[in-house]
Amino acid sequence: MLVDRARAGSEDAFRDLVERCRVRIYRWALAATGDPDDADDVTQETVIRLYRRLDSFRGESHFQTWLYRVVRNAASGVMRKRRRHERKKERMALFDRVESESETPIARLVAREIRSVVRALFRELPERQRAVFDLVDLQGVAPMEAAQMLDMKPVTARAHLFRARRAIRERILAAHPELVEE
Amino acid sequence: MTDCTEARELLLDADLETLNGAGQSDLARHLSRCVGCRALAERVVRAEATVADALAGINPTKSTDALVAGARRAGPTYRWKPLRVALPLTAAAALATVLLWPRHAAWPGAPRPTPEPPRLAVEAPPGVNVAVFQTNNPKITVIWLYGGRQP
Repeated sequence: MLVDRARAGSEDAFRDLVERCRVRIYRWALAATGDPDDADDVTQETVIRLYRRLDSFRGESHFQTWLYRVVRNAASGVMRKRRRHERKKERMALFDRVESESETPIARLVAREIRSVVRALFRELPERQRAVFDLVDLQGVAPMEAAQMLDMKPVTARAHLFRARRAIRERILAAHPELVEE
Repeated sequence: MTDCTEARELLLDADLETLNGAGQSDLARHLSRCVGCRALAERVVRAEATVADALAGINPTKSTDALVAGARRAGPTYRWKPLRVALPLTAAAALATVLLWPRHAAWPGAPRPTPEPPRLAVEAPPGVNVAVFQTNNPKITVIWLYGGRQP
């Protein structure tokens, strides 16, 4: 198994492991920070922690669960270094990126529409609600597994998920009053 | 029977599978026959999928090789970092203790010196030798008079 070989000290296996997890780590980091540049920093920090501490993974939990916690801890460390006002300013970059990377005018229109949803996701939702919503509804992780990854009881994770869905979906439907009034 | 008001409340909490019409819940059954609520559910599903795609479309700027190189540059372990700070501080504290400790004060744990018993001054009578032995017991001193002539 790749993780075992990397733990045993194989540099090639470690590189393959990073290759396999890199995008996933970045995606989790993006959800944790709400900023693409911070997510890059968190991704690098996570790989450093993997390099240093992979031997502490005992296989008692699923590797994805363990890795997710490493990412969250790395994100906490990176975000602590940021001043609050800097973080607020930089987070705007994500909303801009969502819009500017859309290619056609229609896509840009849709992007502007979802921009408010992304903004609600990163600005208005408490961190735990955002994390569980992101894992379950946006990344398709099973709710039970998401609860394990977040070290929550399933019932707590579900409560966070419902609150997050309600906040996000009210925002989505508010953008379409013509549908709601029908 | 679920009416539209109730269905619109339920779809705020529902799983995506239910919003897609799967399952046998009240909401799923309502969506299968109500065009308006189905449009709302589809809108929610589409918007969430768009957000998911948008976030998934933002990729890390560093390649795998750059990330691995960064990890190697950072070094193998954090564990020595606290020691790098702690060792000089400990050495400095030890040196300061040695320099500043009062010279007459005993070091903690050092054995206390045993008080020397008072020396006896014994004067022997003329023609008699005397030897004084101090035993380990400070209360017992042996005085030996020898070599004197009998009267």
